Amino acid sequence: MLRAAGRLIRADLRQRPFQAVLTGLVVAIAAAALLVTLHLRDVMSEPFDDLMRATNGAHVTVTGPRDDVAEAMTLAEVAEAEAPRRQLRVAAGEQARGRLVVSALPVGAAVDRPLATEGRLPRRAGEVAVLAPLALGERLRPGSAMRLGGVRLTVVGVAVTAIPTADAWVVPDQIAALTPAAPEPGDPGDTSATADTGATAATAATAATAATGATGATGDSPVVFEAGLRLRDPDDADLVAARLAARPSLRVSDWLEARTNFTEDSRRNFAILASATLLALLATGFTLATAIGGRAVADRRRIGLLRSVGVTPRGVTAMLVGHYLALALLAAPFGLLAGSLLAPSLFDSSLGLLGMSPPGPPAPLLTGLVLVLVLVAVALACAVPAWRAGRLPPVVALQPTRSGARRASRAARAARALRLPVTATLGAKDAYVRPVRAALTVASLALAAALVVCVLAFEATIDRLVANPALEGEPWDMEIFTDAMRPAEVDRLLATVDGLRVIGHRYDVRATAGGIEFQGRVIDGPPEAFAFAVPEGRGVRRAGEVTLGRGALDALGVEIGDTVTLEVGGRAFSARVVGRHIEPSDDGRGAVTLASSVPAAALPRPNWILRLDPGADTERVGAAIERLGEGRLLVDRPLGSAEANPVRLIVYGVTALLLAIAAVNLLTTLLLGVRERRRDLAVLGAVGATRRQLTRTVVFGGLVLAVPAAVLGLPLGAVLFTTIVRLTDSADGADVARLPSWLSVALALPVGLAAVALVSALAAREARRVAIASALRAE
Amino acid sequence: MTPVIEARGLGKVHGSGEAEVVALRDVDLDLDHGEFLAVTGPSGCGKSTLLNLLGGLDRPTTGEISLHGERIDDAGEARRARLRRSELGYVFQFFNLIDNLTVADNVELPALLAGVPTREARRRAARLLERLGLAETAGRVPGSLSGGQQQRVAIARALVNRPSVLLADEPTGNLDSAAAREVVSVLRERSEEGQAIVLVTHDLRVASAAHRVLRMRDGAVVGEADLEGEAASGEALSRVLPLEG
Amino acid sequence: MRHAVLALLADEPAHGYEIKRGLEERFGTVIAPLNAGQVYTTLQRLQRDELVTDDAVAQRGRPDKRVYRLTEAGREALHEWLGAPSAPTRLRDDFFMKLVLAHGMGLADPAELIARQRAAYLRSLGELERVLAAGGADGTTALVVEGAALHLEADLKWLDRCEEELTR
Repeated sequence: MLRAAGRLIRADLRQRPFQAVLTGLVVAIAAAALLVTLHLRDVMSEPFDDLMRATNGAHVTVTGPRDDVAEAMTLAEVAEAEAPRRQLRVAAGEQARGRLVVSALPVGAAVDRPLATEGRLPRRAGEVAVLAPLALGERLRPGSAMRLGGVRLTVVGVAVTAIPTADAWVVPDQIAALTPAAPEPGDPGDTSATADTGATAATAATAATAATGATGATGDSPVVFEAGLRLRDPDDADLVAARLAARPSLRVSDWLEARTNFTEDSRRNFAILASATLLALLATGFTLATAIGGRAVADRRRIGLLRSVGVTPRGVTAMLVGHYLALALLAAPFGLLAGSLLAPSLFDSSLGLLGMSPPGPPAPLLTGLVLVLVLVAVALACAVPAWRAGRLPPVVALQPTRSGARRASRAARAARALRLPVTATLGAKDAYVRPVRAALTVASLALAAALVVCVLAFEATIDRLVANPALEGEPWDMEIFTDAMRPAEVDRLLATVDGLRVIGHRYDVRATAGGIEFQGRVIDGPPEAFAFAVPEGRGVRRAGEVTLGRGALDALGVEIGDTVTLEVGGRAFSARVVGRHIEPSDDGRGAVTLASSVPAAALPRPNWILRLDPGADTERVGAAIERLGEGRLLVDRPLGSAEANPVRLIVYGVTALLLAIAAVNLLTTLLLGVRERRRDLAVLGAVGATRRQLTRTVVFGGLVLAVPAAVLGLPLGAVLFTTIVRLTDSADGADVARLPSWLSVALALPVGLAAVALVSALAAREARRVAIASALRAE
Repeated sequence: MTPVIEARGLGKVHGSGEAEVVALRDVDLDLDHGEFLAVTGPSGCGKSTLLNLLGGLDRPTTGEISLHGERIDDAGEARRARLRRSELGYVFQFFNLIDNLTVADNVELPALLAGVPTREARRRAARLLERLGLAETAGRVPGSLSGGQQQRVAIARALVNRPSVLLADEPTGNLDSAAAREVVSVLRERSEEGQAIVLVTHDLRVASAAHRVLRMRDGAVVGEADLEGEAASGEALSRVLPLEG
Repeated sequence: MRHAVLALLADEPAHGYEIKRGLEERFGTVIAPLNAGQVYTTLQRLQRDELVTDDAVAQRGRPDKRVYRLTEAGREALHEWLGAPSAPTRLRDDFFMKLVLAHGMGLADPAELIARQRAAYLRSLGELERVLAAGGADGTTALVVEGAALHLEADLKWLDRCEEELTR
């Protein structure tokens, strides 16, 4: 029995190599997609988890005055902790441009040991290791020199920690020698409620009350202490962190949050990939069912013969399924190989930041599992049609001719009613001659159409975000940062620049309310120029108003119209919630208010936000500002379209896969149709249809399948896109996402139909090969 | 008047080298307007090959064929298809009707393919079906008709574009004798109305309806019988039963 | 014709012209039109062989009509005829002789003879087919016509064989 099956399979591969290749291709694609998706799911947090292990990472980090930190270490949940290490905010760089946080290295078998990805950790004074993203941004390498806190240090290595709390590390002795930068409101450790009243942030910077080396003195010390805590139960980290954060003097981070941030990109990619893989598997199933249905028809006779010599229905089913399993077994490894090679490139974006190398290719165990899953899926897809084929009574199967249709084709009737040309009528009736097969192909094409709609929607959304940065929570054309110039200087400088319509200040603060901390943006400038996107309620217009992101609203449990008490820089003030603004970062935990609402002393150094004149060249204005600033100003712009490229890769890649599968399905269906209706095609030729008319028949057949697919697929795509957006960005996705314009769909439709026509034309080549005379002579 | 079809020196060879098969050798053939020509012979004698050549379904290896004085053996595929639409009607042994179209749809198909407007095509089809006594089958599928009816539908289809020549390849091969006689009647009627017909058959009883009978063997024409010479006098009939003694 | 006449008298006696009409009715289309002379000649012969006798029937102002009836011997002869299988058809010896002599003695081209004969057969066949197609013969007659047609087919086949043999 097995040998007979083997022979059957080999015969079929030799007889219909093209079809076997097509089917194999589809299986390989599905296998690749499945492998990549599952692998991504597995390894999403792998680099992060590896890092936690390598650094003996902290589950919670606390930063603040020594006593408070020490107290935090005594919590019942803490399993391991080190003595608090000093942390210092210092001025960095030759021109003291920036401010960096420098930590002392932990000693001994420490918690939260930085891991050197290049070079080594400092061993003596004069040496420093810098955080990987900083090294990347400032182009620092082992051997570079840098100036920190007034001291010249040599970079000996690049390092990372799981929870980024410091920008650089030095030995404990070294930290004493560094000059701390002047403290600013909102820095950790600043518990003073009464700094110089009325003093602006600018004057505070010049005060230079350097408390060198002072430890633990409350009020004015820029030196704080940091401790990493390892908990007995790591999953409690967020609860512990919340408890500790209630203390105003402490700044707290937990590893779960860090991990979520790290995997943010991957999670989004995974949602997209998973949805697409599911669709790909579905489409593969359709294609297989179509192919096997066609085999059953074409091989009726062979099956009949087998049955008449005693093979049971189950035997026939087993042979058919076995045939396709063998094919899948041959094809899947190619797909698995492709997937293994492809998978690592999906992780690059987020890992560059950690300086980590991407996780390796999928493990053999996972690959084996995927192979098994693919075989199971193939078996399932084949089961029903194979079973039906097996059940055919031998007598029926051995009948030489088709008994003929019992009823005229309804598709033909419909086509005639629509006054379509005769080739369309013929194509329509052939396309729908087997309703089940037609349905499967339409479904597969509809999936492809849906995915194309998703791609268009994706691009439309990106365009919208680029055009309206408010949707990213960044309603300005340009941002300016500086630590090296005084605000008044910057204001004066900017006033001389051409092309600026509005200049405003933006203060980035940490706001606390109800024990919960979130980021706050305080805008000093005309609110109409910097209008945040507000789906509910309205934007802030005057003092005493605030808008919150969805996450903040939920966390605080307030509604629009309520009044909240916010604390910024140690000062409390109340404001009425007038609206919900779109806040993509931090799950929507953000607040926006005007500078006039906040006590002035609470505000730190400003950043500048600019609105350009319409038609102004962003690049030139930015370059002009940088030139004027003589390198002391950092110019930045909100989201550009290119930033979406990593996701683009996945979205387009996946769409291409599904389009390939749909094309294979269509080609298979049409080829099967042509083969089964060879005689009709010969008849058409005999009554005078030209080759071109025959081609048109097949092409119309494809189009007639594509049109209902488009009708189904377009709304399906809209639903799919909004669902995926909801999965990846539950906070504001629904507000931000945009469905493609009617115009782009109207443009895409003819392109899609043209593609269908092209595929159909391939099948039509087969139609033209029908030799009329011999086809009509045979029974 | 020039014959409708003039064929000279037709030859057809299949395969090559050792596997070479000579299907036709040096066949000459003329078909006059309104002539009913039968071609008979044992299977394998080349009569179907000859018909395929005349109908443009195949190209001769040697020789030429002219239709209304114009060469057609060297015509391209598209031109031959157009000829099959407008000048040549084909009827086959196995009817070859499209099984999931109605009878009316089947009959008007060649007209539609030739670009005839739908209404005109429908009209022609209806008229033909009427003339052949098949008017009430117009809306049915071919599978529900008897063999004789199906073949008559096929004849209607072959005639819908008013072809110069009707080519029939063993049209009664799949029919019982009664149905076969129906079909031959139809062909004879058409012939009486001036339709030129070439009929290939191995059944002499069918061939006897023609004006002229060609005999073929081994790819060549070996005999010709003109059946129109003596008037159909009814004599044969009276001689059937000799009542002497 | 003799046995046909005997059969027609089997039921009841009949006049000469009634017999003629009976023959025409039953075999009308497939026999040549009968003339009374043939019928009466046959009756006379049968009388001579004592298979039928006649009775005179007086008619006013006309010669006596004869009514014929079967004798016992006649009835026996009829039954014999009905009971015994008929001899199979004979070949068209006429043509065969023509062919053999023409071939053997070089008097005519056998191929031409055969071709002419064939054309004649085909013509006859065509006529018969037309009759059958027109439904111009009812059940019994149709059978006869069918039989004739089949014979013609066989003859045509035989001609092919002759041609093969004699025109080498």
